[in-house]
Amino acid sequence: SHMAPTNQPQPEDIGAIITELWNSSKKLLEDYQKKETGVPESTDYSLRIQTLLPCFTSDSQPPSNINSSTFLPYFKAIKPLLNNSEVQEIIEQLDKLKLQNASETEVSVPTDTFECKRFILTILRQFSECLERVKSLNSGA
Amino acid sequence: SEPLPLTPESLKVSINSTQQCLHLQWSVHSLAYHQELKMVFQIEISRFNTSNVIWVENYSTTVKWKQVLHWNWESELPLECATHFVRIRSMVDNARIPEPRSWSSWSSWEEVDERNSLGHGALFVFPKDKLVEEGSSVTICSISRSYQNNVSCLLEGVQMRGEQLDPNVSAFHLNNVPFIRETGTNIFCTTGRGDGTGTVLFVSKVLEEPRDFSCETPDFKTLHCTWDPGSDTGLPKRQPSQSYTLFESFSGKKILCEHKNWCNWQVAQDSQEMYNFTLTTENYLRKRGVNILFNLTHRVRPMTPFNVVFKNISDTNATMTWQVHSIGNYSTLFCQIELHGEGKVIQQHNVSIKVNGNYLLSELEPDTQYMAQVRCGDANHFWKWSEWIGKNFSTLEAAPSEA
Amino acid sequence: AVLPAKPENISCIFYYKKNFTCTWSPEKEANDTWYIVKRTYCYGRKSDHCTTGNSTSTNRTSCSFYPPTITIPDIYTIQVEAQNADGIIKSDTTKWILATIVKTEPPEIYSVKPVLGVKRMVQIKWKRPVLAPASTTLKYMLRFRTVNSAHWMEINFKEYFFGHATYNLMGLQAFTEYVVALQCVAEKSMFWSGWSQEKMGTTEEE
Repeated sequence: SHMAPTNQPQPEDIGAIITELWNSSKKLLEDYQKKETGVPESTDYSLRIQTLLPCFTSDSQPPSNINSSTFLPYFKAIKPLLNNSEVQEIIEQLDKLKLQNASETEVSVPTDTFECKRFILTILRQFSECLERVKSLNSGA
Repeated sequence: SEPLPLTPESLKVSINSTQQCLHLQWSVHSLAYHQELKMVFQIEISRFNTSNVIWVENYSTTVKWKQVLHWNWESELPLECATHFVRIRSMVDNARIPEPRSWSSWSSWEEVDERNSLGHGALFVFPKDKLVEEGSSVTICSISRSYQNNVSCLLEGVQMRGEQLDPNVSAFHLNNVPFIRETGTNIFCTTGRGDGTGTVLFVSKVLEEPRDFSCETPDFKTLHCTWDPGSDTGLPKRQPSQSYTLFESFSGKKILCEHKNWCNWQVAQDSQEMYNFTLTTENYLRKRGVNILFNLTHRVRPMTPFNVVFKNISDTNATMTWQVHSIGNYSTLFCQIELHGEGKVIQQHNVSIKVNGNYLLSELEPDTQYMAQVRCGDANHFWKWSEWIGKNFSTLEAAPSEA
Repeated sequence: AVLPAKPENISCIFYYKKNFTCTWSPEKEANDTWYIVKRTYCYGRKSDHCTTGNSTSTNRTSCSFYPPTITIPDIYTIQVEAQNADGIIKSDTTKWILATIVKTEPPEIYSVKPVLGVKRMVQIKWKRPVLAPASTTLKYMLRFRTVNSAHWMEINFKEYFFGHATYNLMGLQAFTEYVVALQCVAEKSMFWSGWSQEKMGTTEEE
């Protein structure tokens, strides 16, 4: 059929995807912080993401890999709120790392406008920090 | 004791938080069936407690039997931030009743309090997502549940100086608010114990009056109107871009324009010659209009001539021909021809034509490349030139002189 | 029935963050033939297609895919279907590893200066192209000549770490003005960027 033989990126590709995500997430966070001055992160959302949702997968084999299904639903939820094609590119990269049968949780966005901005900033920060950790793990591996 | 006659009664006060408006309604029961009286109503508004009167206004109107009267008051302070009290009294405003006329007794204070609908939370900030125009003044207020919190509020990350209205409520007066970004201006308040909440103030650019509004027709069938819209006042998900409508007063017709800087108007067959257009632009906060009055026959801008052909080209002459789109039965066009050689205009000619044009270009140099272009305007009432249309041509080599 | 010719010689290039473009032969086909380019991406998990018009659009044997669905690294398959009123002819399915066909923007040199006290040398500084993948090491080609010479000399070197963008060009003539230009390529790619703008610099006096 028309589908390609392999649909799981090789370890070397996973490392490259992580680097691309690290670069994009850094840029996205910087752009948002520069654009939305005066919006602090939300401790509630940070704790919720950190405690409930692991940053990276626990498989022992390097390269360590980000837990794509942690962040994918969040990025799909904030995509319509951000007029930035970088978000869709992050979703495309996360799709590559997604385990084939991984379930996807539904994420609801705060209705309050200011809370929504805090929610977005917190996700971008958590995602960027998570990638920093995974990237340093991999460059140390 | 029996209330004095003509006392305002059944006073009801409702709140529109989004508009920050109190809406009053009352009636004067003791009016006779046929009676119609000019009356003055005095309204007092207090905040936090009845002794703290912040607004007094007299409202004059004519009252009929069983009529329910209405009056609105816009608060500069978000209504969620304070309990408000309202009372009213009246006086007959009738020349036949000698001075000094006396006020009726006050109605009882009506209390309106939005704060019990706040829900749980330690700190609240209002207004929520308010839309204002650039340059206006806005009052932000914060309500903290307990007294001890020293609440601080930041505008775009910079501390604001506030006014303590009561132990729980602080107000922050912002003047001449600027437009910062489409996603709104960020205001965040904290109690200093880590918890905090915020709001977004949506500042819209001021709707400008359309500039350079003008209309013209190429063919007496369509009127093409254009204007400079100025800034777009749209804010994503908050306020659509301003709308533009064209209204023509003689025909009474109105159309909503799809584009923000141009609009086409169909000229009816038997329509009038004079047109009185009003272009109106509107957004949620403001409405503006500009007007032009003109005679259709004075606003003809012909379409670009077409099919330029050079005939009978010799070493020193060439006949240039072109076609024009028909405008109206009696229209005469005034056309301008420019001859370009080596990048300069070397000849310029004018000619009047009815249908199609032709012109003899002479005194040319043999074996030379030229570019000739033509444009036309209405000869009866010149308004604007059409666009140019041009073409290159070369003269023939000089014929060998007689031996 | 005259079926279209089978599309062949499929060639694709990935202009990073701009477009992924494939071309094929025969260039000259009847006007009533149009093409559908079927792509799988995201390591085969997703698929889409692009179509070329059958009107007089100039390059009718070329089709492009655009952001945000073109991200590196990835493995694509591309198959071109030629269609006319009489039927469809399919090309072979071709496989493309994006890292091998990525073309980046040229770097931008911002300084060519001598280093105080170091003779016959200039230090070249540039900006890594924003439009270049963060995940691939860049190889550079530096060319230089004296201002009054037409003969370019070339040097190759590699990016030691992400963002490394300095090179000390040594062995030059003293107190001489040089013209310098730079191009780069993602490590596994076959497509070099264009040349940067030329920049001048002069070595110290002897």
